[in-house]
Amino acid sequence: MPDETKSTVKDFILREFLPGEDPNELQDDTPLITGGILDSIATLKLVAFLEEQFGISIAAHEADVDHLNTLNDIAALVASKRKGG
Amino acid sequence: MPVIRRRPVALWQPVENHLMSVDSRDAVYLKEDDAALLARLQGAIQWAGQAALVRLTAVALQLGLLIALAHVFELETFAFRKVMVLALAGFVVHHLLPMNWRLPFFVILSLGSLVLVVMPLNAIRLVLVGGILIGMCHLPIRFGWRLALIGGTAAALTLARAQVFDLPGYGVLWPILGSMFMFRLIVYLYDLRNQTAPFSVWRSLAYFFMLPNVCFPMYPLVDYQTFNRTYFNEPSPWRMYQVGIKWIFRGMLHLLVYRLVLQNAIIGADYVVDAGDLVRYMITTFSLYLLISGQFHMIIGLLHLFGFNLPETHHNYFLSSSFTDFWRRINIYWKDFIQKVFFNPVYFRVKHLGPAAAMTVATLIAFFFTWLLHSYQWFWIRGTFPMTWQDAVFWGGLAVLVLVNVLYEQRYGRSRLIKGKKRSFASRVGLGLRTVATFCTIVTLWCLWTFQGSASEWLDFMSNITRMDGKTALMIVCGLTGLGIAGALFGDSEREYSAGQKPKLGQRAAEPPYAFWQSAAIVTVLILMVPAIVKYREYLPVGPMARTALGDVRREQSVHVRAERDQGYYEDLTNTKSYNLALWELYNRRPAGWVLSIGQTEAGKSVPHEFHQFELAPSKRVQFMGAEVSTNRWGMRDRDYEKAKPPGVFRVALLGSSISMGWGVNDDETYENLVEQRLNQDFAGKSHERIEVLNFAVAGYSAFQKLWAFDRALEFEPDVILWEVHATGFTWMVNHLSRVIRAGIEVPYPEVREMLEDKGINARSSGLAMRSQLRQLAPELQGWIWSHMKRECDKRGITLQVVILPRADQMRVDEEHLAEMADFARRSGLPVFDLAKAFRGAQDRRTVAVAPGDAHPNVEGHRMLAEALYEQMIASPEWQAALGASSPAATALHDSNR
Repeated sequence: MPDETKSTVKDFILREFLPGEDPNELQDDTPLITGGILDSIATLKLVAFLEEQFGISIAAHEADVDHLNTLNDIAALVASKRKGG
Repeated sequence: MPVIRRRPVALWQPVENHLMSVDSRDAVYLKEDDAALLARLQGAIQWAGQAALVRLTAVALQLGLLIALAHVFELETFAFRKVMVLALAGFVVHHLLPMNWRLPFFVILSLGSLVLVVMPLNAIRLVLVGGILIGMCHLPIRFGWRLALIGGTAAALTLARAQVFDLPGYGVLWPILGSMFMFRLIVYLYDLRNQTAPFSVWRSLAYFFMLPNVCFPMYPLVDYQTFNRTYFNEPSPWRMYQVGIKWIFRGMLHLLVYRLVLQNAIIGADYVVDAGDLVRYMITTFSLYLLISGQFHMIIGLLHLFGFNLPETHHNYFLSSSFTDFWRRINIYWKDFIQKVFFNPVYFRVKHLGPAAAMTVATLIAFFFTWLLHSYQWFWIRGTFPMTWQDAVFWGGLAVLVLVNVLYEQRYGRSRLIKGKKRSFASRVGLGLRTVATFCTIVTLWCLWTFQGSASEWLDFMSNITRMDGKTALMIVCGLTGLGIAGALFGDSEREYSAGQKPKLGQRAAEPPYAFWQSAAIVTVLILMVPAIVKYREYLPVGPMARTALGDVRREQSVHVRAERDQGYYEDLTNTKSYNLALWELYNRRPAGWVLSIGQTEAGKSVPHEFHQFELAPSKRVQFMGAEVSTNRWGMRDRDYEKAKPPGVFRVALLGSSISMGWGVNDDETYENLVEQRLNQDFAGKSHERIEVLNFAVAGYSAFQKLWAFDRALEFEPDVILWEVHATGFTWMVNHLSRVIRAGIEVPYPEVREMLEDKGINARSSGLAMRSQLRQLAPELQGWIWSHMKRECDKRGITLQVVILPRADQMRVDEEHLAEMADFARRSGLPVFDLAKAFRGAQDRRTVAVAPGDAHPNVEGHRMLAEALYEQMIASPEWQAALGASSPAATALHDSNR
């Protein structure tokens, strides 16, 4: 399940924010926020996508580097939200 | 000593790299039963321990060099330089301590810095109020009740800050207490509410009292979550330490460039008469922000040395290529704070409106709070809550520009790059053009923000852009082209971040090993190059102006000169002298209890409805600037004299301001008294029975106030009148005249009134226009003053003579200005005693200044002035004749003095 999440999110990020980028460059641990790929506007777009795609609700304080900096972090956040109900 | 634990884990790095993590984690994890590897590791641990000591020494040496650089160039306050020394010692001890002792040690060190800077009792006061606020955050009651309690306490503190009631002992501390708690408490409560970070006593104390906050009322708004998340978050501390050193150095470079701009390039708004001046004013005003970026780089760099691997606070903000980009590059911590506490919560609350509407609402609210919180910040640091049209237009304008940019980016996206990808030529050209457009817009808005005047005055002021000649146009085009090229080449660099999250064991290393020694070598060479460039500037392929500027950059110009410049929001918040004298004294090694204006003592007498505005009160004895100041019955800072000149007396009257009055020196230590004493010692009883030098100087006196004193001096029948000139130019004359004209006080000289009327200067003139016109008229007014005085002196057979005086921090540019004034005086037919180089003999100018940051000559300075003046007097044939000194005798005396 986490791999599917990562794959879905990775596709979204490549499509929305890194058009034309080599998919191999975007690894599970590539820093998205601290690496400058996701700025504040892109982060909010990603949050909207996650909420819609996975049917979860993300709080304002979770839209940060602790939860969204890598594909691994995002997958963990989605998993915890789904588990929490 | 690291603990070796036997736990299954794959070793994916070379042993040395792996061992670097031992330093920060105190544990190494090994595969079970891998005896060979265990032996290899034990050997490597011993080696790494020695290598770590060498690296530690290298970092400490670099920090030592930076401290030396700060001392040589007098960067920042004396208090900060002291704290840097404390930090150096603390850094070494901190690194050698076991991991779990480091944070408590950092707290102790930070509290030690409070004691060092503000003294023990004030440190206790700070910790007391801070401790109460932190304690309230953790009371075992509902969060809402805690908020209410903290709100009530904050309200009480607000009333005390607004001086509704007095909180004894806190007057000096408000800016520091404010900078520690005014924003960080909000962030702390936010993170506490959402439990986004760990909390403990040590973490809280480290966060609020962190070193070197006590030295800076303007402090980066460090995020609590980031503060904790980045704490020793890399396997090896060496990259972090080295980045810290690099950022401290970068900060110092910003401060040096700031000083170059302040001392050589900045002009006041009233000097602006054409497009060239206007562009210079706009760019230099914006460039003063280098002070803030420099301080912030140094602060965060210093925190790196204690394990706080925080990200950059500023990132090439001169090269922003859009308004959102500017917002993301300048004071990034502020942007992060606003986004976290205001923007995101509002956006998430209204996101049901749709992305564009939610973005609009959240952006406008975020900027509204940015505006409000800048005034709030001003309140805690300076004590008033300003609401000006400039603030409203600046923040409103920036909000609109950023919003348009945000909506565009939301709709069309923003091109992003993963490292290694290259831009096309067309893309780089576009980036360069956007950089130029953004820069022009930002400096215009910034100019408006810092402008002192009305909106219509600002529009008039900006109309100077139409007064452009070909040369100016060419220079502007060249400058903008250079900026565009810099933007195209370097504008898309990303913000330098900490390593981010902790690498998990077994995970591939995110980055290649850090080239520590390469970085250390480069930084060390660059640090050493700074003083070398200044020392050997004569050999640089630059013009004389640049050499002069480089020579002057070693010293900070005195605050008296700095105060004459136009100030901006950040200048006003960093210039502690302008709002908290006691704190300024603590920062600048001043004896407690100094007063900076003679008007604050009984010896000063304000006469606001009179043309001269201020005078010395007669027959007073007070302590002023740590020295005894006595006035005689005539209101002179001098011995007592009869009004009518006694027979056989040769009388000199001295007209001047603070240097001649004596500032921070005792009565018998002023150069005027020393010269009088020396003249009597050598020449009394020759042509004249006695020589008297009457001191009519009053601190702060401008040319017209000295002219008022001239009329008084004539009543004392002097033989010679000495007119002091120092390097304030015509600024004081402009200040004084604009003040009295606006107050409706009549100028008591009909010819001057006519000159003013011809220029249309009257009480109804707007402030900037009046100052600008007075500035242009000033040389003519000075010429009139001297010709008027000369006429009056000639009628009475009095010799009028000019004395050129240096300040202790005299710079080469000032010397050029003084040389111009000396020429002006000679062209006006006045003989000149030029003492501009009187302090050249001092090895270090600081030895002749009354105190750090105060350029008035001290006792030694006055002694040198007296000596130089005496030598020039006895070398002058007119004085020889008057004193009865034959030329050979005077020459012999002169020779013996040498």
